[in-house]
Amino acid sequence: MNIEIFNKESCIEPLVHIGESSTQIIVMIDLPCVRKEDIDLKVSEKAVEIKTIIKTTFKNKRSVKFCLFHKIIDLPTMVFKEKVKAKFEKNILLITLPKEKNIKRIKIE
Amino acid sequence: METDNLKPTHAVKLVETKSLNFKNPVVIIGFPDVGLVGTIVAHYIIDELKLDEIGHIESQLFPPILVIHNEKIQNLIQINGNEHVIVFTSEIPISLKILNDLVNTITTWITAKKAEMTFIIGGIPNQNRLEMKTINTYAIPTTSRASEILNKGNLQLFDEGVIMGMNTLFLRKFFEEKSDSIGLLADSFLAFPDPESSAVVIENLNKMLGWNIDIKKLLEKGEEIRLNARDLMKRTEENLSKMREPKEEDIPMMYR
Repeated sequence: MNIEIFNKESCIEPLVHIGESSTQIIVMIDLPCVRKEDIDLKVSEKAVEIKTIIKTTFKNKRSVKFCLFHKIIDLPTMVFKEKVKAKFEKNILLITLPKEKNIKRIKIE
Repeated sequence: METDNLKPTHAVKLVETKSLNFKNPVVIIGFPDVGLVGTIVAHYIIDELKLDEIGHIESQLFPPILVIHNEKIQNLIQINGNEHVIVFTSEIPISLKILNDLVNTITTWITAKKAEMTFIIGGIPNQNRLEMKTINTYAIPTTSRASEILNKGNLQLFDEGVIMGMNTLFLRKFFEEKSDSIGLLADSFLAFPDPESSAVVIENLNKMLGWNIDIKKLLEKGEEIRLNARDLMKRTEENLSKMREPKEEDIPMMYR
């Protein structure tokens, strides 16, 4: 796969929904017309980056062709990137990101 | 022809562009809402039943958006139909500024056309939607006659809870006026277009109305619909967020 062959004009942002519990952040990304093997997912402690080819090139109402989904998602809190899990079902990418438990109790003087 | 005799409000005006001799039509209201279920259902019915545009809504409070399809400017809120079926759809999320006036204008017009039954279609967000094997459709009838027709569909009554959003205004208005209508709300993704849920709603309409609309194409084109409906879904979700900001005192005590 060579994602870089597409220029920036052909990029669109996928729909994203972010949920949060006390222990984890759940990021859902809607990726219609995408194959699992084309998804390039990168995770840091603070953000998720998704980049993937859209297998069916289509034109919108302005006849602009779109070929690529790309989005950088800033996370609401730091996560433990080594324990991130992702699954792709019904063309929705579900990413589970455990929150980093780096909390220090402060003694009040 | 304008429906001046139906007391249009200042914010919106319903314009009939094609005069039809309605025969107690079934009305489908499918405006952008959770999962765009109403929108997808309405557009699919229009395509499958080949319903022409027979009118539209005008408003000076519409946002500065122009929708062009096949080189023609589209009305933002359209009415398609024939003598037996009328479908309301919108190319834009319905703004809070026109919501009440729009509901009043449309319900007054539907009552004047002596509709047999009005179905208000929407989604109901389910956080487990991704794992669901069976998608439920919940029904909210506004009259006892409307309750009777529910027996023909594979439906559960929405027995308890609070629902927010524009569909509730339609249902309350029909309930107050004792007009026959049914809210049909399918389990849906909150922020993603949901053609699969829309197909379930159409199957239920088929059972209740004796229609035979094939949902195969809808399911086959599901991913393409999701791709094309992305922008509308994004704007609808932003609009729904504004509606979801009730003050705590607006929520009944039993649910606080």
